[in-house]
Amino acid sequence: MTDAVVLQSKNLAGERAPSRRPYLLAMIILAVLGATLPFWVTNSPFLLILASHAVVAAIVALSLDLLTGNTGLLSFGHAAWYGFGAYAAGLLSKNFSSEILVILPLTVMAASLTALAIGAILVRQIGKTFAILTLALSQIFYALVFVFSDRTGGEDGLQGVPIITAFGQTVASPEAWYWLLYGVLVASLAGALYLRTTPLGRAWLAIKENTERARFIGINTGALKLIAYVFSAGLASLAGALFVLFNGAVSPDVLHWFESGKILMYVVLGGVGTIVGPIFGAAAFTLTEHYVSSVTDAWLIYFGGLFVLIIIVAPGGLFGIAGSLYARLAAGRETRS
Amino acid sequence: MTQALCYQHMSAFYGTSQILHGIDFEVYPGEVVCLLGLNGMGKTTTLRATMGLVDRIEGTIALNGVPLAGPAYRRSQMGVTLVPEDRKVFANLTVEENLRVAIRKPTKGAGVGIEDTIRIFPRLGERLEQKGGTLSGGEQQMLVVARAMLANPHYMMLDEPTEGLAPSYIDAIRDSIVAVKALGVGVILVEQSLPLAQSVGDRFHVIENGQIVRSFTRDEVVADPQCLVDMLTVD
Repeated sequence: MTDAVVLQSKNLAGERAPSRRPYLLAMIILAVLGATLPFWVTNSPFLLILASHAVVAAIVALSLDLLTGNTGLLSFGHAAWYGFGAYAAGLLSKNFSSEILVILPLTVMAASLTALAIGAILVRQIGKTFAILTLALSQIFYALVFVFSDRTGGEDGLQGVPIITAFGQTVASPEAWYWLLYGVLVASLAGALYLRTTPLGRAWLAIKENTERARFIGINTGALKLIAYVFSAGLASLAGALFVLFNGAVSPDVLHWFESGKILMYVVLGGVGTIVGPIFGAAAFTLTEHYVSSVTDAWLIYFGGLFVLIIIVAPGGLFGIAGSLYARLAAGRETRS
Repeated sequence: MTQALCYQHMSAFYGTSQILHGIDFEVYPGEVVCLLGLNGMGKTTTLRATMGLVDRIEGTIALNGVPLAGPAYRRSQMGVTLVPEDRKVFANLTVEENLRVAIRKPTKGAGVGIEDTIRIFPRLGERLEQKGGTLSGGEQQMLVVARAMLANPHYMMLDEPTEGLAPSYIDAIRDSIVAVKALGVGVILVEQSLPLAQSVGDRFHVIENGQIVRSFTRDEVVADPQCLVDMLTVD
């Protein structure tokens, strides 16, 4: 599928660029703000920890959007892979090596291979069946933590994850951790956005739009859905692994269906299929969750209400709202000039 | 090995009901075969059977001597593609993305590229950045035909491509059929519009109740344009 086409240069550079420039500028400003965050919050170390949690949430949200946003497959059990990564990395660090460059690749590989085997069955299902099966899968993983509680710590969670090293140097300071997590997020985001521009990314979108028509033009829809599932699970497991190493412990809650629901909310809040949106959805959710839950125990009620509101008023999520606001502003400017 | 798409005594079933009763015909490279007949006679089913979208067939459909088998995407990769009647574009992809996603290199030669489809459908060239779903019906039909062309199939099936289209669009669809024919692609055209079928068709098969009841060559139709009309008029 090579597509040496002259049209690209003309249209991408010539017509699209002006309208995208403010968007890119905003993204760069936000990215720089994110990268320099440790300098802004030197007085309140807790904020940096909270931000680190938000970054982990953003990576896992991105991983779900790789699947749901690209192929339309809706997962109600994405925490399965997040939790898989957390437990696998936690166990590896306790029993095998505390070198992050060993733990992360092994964890992601294990998750990807498992996802390949399970996904081969799952992606044959569509719509509700797929969603329910993913939910069932996460519940199985959840149960396994208790079945092997002598290893996993069961209800108490996996405790005592050692301080990890990178290239033999210990990684302990909150700043170092934040930058490590942030770096992974930016790299994953760049990768996900790049995938969109490849033939694979376009084929995914075609599957999401109309699976049957995609088959008619020769797209092996089953195989490509499986690739999306494996990528998505792999990235979620990376987020889980980073979480456990950063946090030093993990409880079975990360595999609970509530966690899956939260991940799905990050994506819906941010804007399904926008790749960038779910990152902001995750960050907004994590920060709001922290502050609202310290004010009231009934915070879930407010979130439930917000969720309903988003679905009805702004199905495109935060990203969609920002996009239509910008479009309105741009239109207003045009009519004035 | 014959270079052709051959239907040999092909019957097709949905569940227990038999729709086609032993269809025999061939399509050769660079030839337009028109399947004609009233609604509900089995024309669309013939096309769907080719893509493997019926429950069961008897007899064979062979592409250059190889029986077509497997799921739709495999058949598409083997070189047959279907443009169904309901002309669904990928609505949230831009026109350009709709086209790019379909590109497949042909087994030999340069094949069709995006520039070629835009030469045939200049309208699409003007709307590359627009979402597929915002195009008019006629433009969407152009887009799905262009998309099918870009897969560089050996055989292309068009199911009522001009249904409900304005005359200017019908001309564009005709041009596209002539263009793919010139590339050596075999075309099966299911069409209600006789003028279009007569202007591009090389051979004509009239299907009634799941069987081919009459066949005409281009020469016969040119000599007696009324012969098809007589076959297709409800009396």
